[in-house]
Amino acid sequence: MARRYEPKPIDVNLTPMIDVTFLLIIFFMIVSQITQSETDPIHVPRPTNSQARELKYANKLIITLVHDGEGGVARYKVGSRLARDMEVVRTIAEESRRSAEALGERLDVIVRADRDVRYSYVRPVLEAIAKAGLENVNLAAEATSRAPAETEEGA
Amino acid sequence: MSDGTRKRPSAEQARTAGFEEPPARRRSAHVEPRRLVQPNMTPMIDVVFNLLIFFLCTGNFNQPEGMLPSRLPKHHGVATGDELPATPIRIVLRQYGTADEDYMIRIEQRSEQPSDFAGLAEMLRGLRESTAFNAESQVIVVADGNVRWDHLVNAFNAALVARFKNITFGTK
Repeated sequence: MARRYEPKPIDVNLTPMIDVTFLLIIFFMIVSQITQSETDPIHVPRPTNSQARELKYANKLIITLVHDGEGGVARYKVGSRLARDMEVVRTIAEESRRSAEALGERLDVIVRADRDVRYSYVRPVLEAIAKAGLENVNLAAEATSRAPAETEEGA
Repeated sequence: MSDGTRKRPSAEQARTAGFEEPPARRRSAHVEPRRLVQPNMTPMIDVVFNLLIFFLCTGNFNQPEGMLPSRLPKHHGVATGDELPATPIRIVLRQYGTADEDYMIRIEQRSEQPSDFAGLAEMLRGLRESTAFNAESQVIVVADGNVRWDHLVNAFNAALVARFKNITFGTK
């Protein structure tokens, strides 16, 4: 008579699976953060009772002014390109405007200047943006946790 | 038939033979040594480390960055004298020293002047509520070239706090 073997219950060790799952989550989070950080890390201005708020733009051109440590600008970055002078800033801004217009979209310019940069370095950038035919300029600043509407509603 | 083993006398037999009743036999003299429970710490440490890395990655230690929307005057970037409406409010910023705090805020054609940006916002709010101005009135932030960008954005923000909508940067 053939002997019947009872199937043994399989004891699944979940710990390695949880480990791997966590590692995958962390991996994808870090990768997504790297993808999102298209902006250079700078110290943006910190206004009193800041009205700055997070805005979503369909089409944007980020101009970053990186501080050189002495009130000047170490480099101007327009989008992903480095600009040597204001003519380059104007040219890139104009190209971006034309591309946006061809698609029928609005282009927003974001000026991210370090808080310690002197105005004499920012003013030519604003002039170059205006010469490129762009009007919608957004100034990057630190945002407070409270929404602006809430802070001033009672005033 | 004897099987070669001695039978233990019963308690009654022992009593009749003049023996005292033997003490009750201990049930079990054999005590198993207590086993030490040693949980496997390695998976727990793995998971704890993973959780630590997870929360470090998800935590945002930077101050959130927002935007102050503005509109530039067409083709100039900064306002010139030709475009100015009859009664703009001009905020003048001046840096008179090398330290960050060595700056001065002035509202042109006003006798009372603010000492800081919170005061500037209060004064601008007072102006907006006055009969001479309204939310559509133009506010121009004018600054020397050596003024920190932080101060300009602060002045711009103060005008936003006062609910002005038409704010721009200007040249002297």
